[in-house]
Amino acid sequence: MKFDIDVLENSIKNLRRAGMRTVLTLIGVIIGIAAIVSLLSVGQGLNVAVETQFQSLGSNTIFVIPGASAGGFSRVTLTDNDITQLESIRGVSDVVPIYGAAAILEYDGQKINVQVSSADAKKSSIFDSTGFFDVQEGRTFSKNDSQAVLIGDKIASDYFDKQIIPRKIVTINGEKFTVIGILKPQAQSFGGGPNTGTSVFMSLDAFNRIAQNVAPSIIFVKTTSGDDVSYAVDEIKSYLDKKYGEKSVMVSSADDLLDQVNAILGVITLVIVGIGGISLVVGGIGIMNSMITAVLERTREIGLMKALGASNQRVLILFVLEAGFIGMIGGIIGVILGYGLSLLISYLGASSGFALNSVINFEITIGALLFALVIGIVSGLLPAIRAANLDPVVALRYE
Amino acid sequence: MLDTVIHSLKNLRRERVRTFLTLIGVIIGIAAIVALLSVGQGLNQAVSSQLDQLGSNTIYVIPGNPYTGGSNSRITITESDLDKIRSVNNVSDVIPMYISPVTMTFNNEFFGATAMGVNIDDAQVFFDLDYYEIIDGQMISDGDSSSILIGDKLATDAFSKELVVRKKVLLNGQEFRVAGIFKMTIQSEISSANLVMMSDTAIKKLNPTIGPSETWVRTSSTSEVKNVAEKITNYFDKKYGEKSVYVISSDQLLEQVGQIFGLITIFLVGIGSISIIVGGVGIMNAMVTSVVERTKEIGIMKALGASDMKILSIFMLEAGFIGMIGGIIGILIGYGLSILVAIIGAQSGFPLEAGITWEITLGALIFSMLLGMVSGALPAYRAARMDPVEALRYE
Repeated sequence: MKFDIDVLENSIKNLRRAGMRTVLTLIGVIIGIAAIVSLLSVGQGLNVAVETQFQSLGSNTIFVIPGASAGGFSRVTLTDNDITQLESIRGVSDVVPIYGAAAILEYDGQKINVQVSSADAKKSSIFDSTGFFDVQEGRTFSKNDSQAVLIGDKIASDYFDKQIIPRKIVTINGEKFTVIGILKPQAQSFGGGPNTGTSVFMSLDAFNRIAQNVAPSIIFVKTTSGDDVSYAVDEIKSYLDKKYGEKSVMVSSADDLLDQVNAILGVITLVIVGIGGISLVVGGIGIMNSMITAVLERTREIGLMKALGASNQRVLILFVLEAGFIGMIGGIIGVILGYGLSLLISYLGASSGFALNSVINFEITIGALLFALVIGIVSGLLPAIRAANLDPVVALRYE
Repeated sequence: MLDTVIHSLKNLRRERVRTFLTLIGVIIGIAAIVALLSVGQGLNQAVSSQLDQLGSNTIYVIPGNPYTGGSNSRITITESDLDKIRSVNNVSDVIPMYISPVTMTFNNEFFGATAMGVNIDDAQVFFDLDYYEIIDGQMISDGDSSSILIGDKLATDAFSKELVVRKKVLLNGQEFRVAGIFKMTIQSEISSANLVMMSDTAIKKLNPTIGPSETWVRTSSTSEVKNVAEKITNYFDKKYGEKSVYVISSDQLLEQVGQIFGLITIFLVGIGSISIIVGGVGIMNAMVTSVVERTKEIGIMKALGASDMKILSIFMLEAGFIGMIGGIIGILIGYGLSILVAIIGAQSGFPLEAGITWEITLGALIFSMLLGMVSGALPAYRAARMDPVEALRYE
């Protein structure tokens, strides 16, 4: 099989000749590829966003959440004894419970029910790298803040008619507190950061004063190294299952959760890309249609080529290449457009507080380009075979 | 006019392969959209009908805000709160449901189950709704504080020995007798694998300070729902502060569900419509080619007296036909797909019906026709504006 520049040049020339037709066929492919690339890019971006969130906590983290299974109905109360038990498990370096309780927040004459949370200040250094407690206004906790609270941005701006700013005094369950800071809103992404916007944080002493039923709403367990995680998870699970019954407390390592979320995201991305991919099938049909027309139009030309000595194979390659080119050029433009679209989406998302970064990925790019090329070649195959098998005598006679 | 139609159809038949391929493009696009819309509709209907059964006079009162705050931030609704609600005008029933985790002991084995306590007379409403049926033993009588009903899966799977009627078990250390076994007919997070049912008296014996996790309030008529819901919200706002209790009527719930489904469907259909656009481009391509091929023919038609309008309508009709025929076949295939999904869904226990509605069918038909005509507009316009002399000379 001789492959020379001639055949390539010929294909490109022919495509240019058919002008409008080629352009329209190209547009079909461009739209299809752009759709798939932008969807994949955004999907990957979501994946990355979730992973980053989990990583900020550190990978040796285990989440213990009472009542997270059974539809959140079981109100299992974990005790200090339980905390001590957990601390004694081999490989566990920190056990940090966050206590939560319902309370009435009074400000400017309005009373609103909120969740108040608190953690032991000595243990809360594990949150330093997470940014969960970063403030957008005011300051965070320091040594003697037993009458201080941090409130979420939604409580500050949306809950009450009057906005709450740092230094203002609020009343929680009858006791006065000074708002020292407003929490920075955490960028929400799929299964990601905690929504601190509607939370109120205070010191543990203050919390014990105002809250009636004190129970941990979530416990973060850190292990000394990644290898200790699975053993710790098993030990925690068997201890809690025995004491409170199966499924009453959810115990999950950061990796497990990440896997689950990724799996769900993966399925969703697949479905959406699948639907978007239907457009590529239609685009491929467009290529086929265009090529059949081209073959028909150039029947005499094909007859002439064969009469001058072109082999069937050469004719086949010529047309397959033309189709392949449409695919490839459409693919290149489509990939560029697709990434452009996904960048636009991530920009729009960022401005509405949704952390989304589109991913410009080697795999997506190469994959899309190859796919476009293959679609072109496959769609052009049938017409090309027809062309190759034309009887030169009959072809020359074609009117 | 009929002439034009026949002419258009004949032209389409002439270029069989090209018309066929263009048609396939449209069919695929329309089928995808119709299938998505139909499945979305079916899902919506399935959920709505379940909610509908509860009747539109029902208000759900749930402590705490389900969107924020964990289970710890829920306030406890007291008996006097419930009495207050009962005293509101036009309230016909107040049915509180108490849910609490229990540790069940049987045969020296432990099992963590979920107990649900409700006033047995009021629980009749669950029976009427076919939520569950008693498959062994009998129903508990009102006020009985020592009998329980257990789920069929719990009876067989929770312990190594099967738990049968009349057996005694310990719940959090207190003795109860299994009066009957039930099977659940609806999907729920709490399933017959870990659910224990008892009277409200019984669950308060287990957990004296418990408050209802969910309370159903029924009004005497649908028109009163809004009023009553407002009064209940005001009462709780004053007592526990705003956002302490979530009050929603079944109508509002239906609306919310409908909105969510609507959004998801629109999103998916949007993605599906990309293939329609490509299909439209295909129609345009086919028409452009067709016009170029028949340049001489157009010249002859014009020379023989055909007006520009007539030429335009011939080609627009051709394109419109491709759209319409593709649309009809696409709709059929799309519904077929959605029926398939419904069958698969029903097999896995999900009551799904294919949503075949007038709106979808008509909408898709008109859309596909418009698609054809819009796509064919440019080529048709070009054809109409051709100079007959130039056209006749075309080689």
